[in-house]
Amino acid sequence: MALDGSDYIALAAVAVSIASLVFSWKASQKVDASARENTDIQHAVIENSLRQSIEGASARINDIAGLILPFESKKQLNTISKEDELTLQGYHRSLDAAIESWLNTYENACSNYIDGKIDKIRFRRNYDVEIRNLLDRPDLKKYFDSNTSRYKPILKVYRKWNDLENC
Amino acid sequence: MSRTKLIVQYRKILAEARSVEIAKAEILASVNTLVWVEPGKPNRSLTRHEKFQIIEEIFEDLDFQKSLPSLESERVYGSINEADNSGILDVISALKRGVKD
Repeated sequence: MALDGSDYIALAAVAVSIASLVFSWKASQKVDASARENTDIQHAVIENSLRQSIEGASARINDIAGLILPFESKKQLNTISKEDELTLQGYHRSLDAAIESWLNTYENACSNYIDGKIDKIRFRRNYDVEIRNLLDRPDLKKYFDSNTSRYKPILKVYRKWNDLENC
Repeated sequence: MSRTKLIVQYRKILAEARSVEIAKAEILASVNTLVWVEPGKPNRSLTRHEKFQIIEEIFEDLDFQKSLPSLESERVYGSINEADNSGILDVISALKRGVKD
């Protein structure tokens, strides 16, 4: 059977539509890959900034520790003056504020995790031990009372990771 | 069967399915028949949305467990959990003990 002109046109139309289908499928794959890459970059930026905030807040606590320790030594040796005693009290207030700021950085990190703004699996891998340490330390118990705590996102993440059967 | 065991089974169904869409439909039908209650409140059944939240969380947990390195790779490459705040927590403990003494 011989093909006439209209058959060739129809075949050409089919070929063009297949080509455009392949082209649009490839384009959509590229768009998907690019969107995934953008999301990964956004996650990485947020994760880096969270880690930097935590490191910064830890450094602040270390700085205050350096100021407190000489006064604490004097206090233990009973050689501390009234004036130094007052200074020490001031430093302890600064320490409490620094601890709260430090916990705020973890709270912020946990909020980002809950909101899905960071890679959840990577976050858990990096923060699992740290979050557990925060909740397990007797010195920080007062910050994590389940009724009065201001750090609800940290508590929520801790429970989610450690009490899955009852979530 | 506990929730976790059931959800692990869902995960297996999804992983082994020839058609993910069919597997999803099968799981959806199963979830619709489940009656889960809120812990401590036996009279309050969880909504479908709440049930899916739990499933999603346990899926996430399974993905996390899967992402952990095996003992062998830990021996070869070291632990990947490098971030640790125990140093700063020790500093806080020492300072707080100083106050109490």
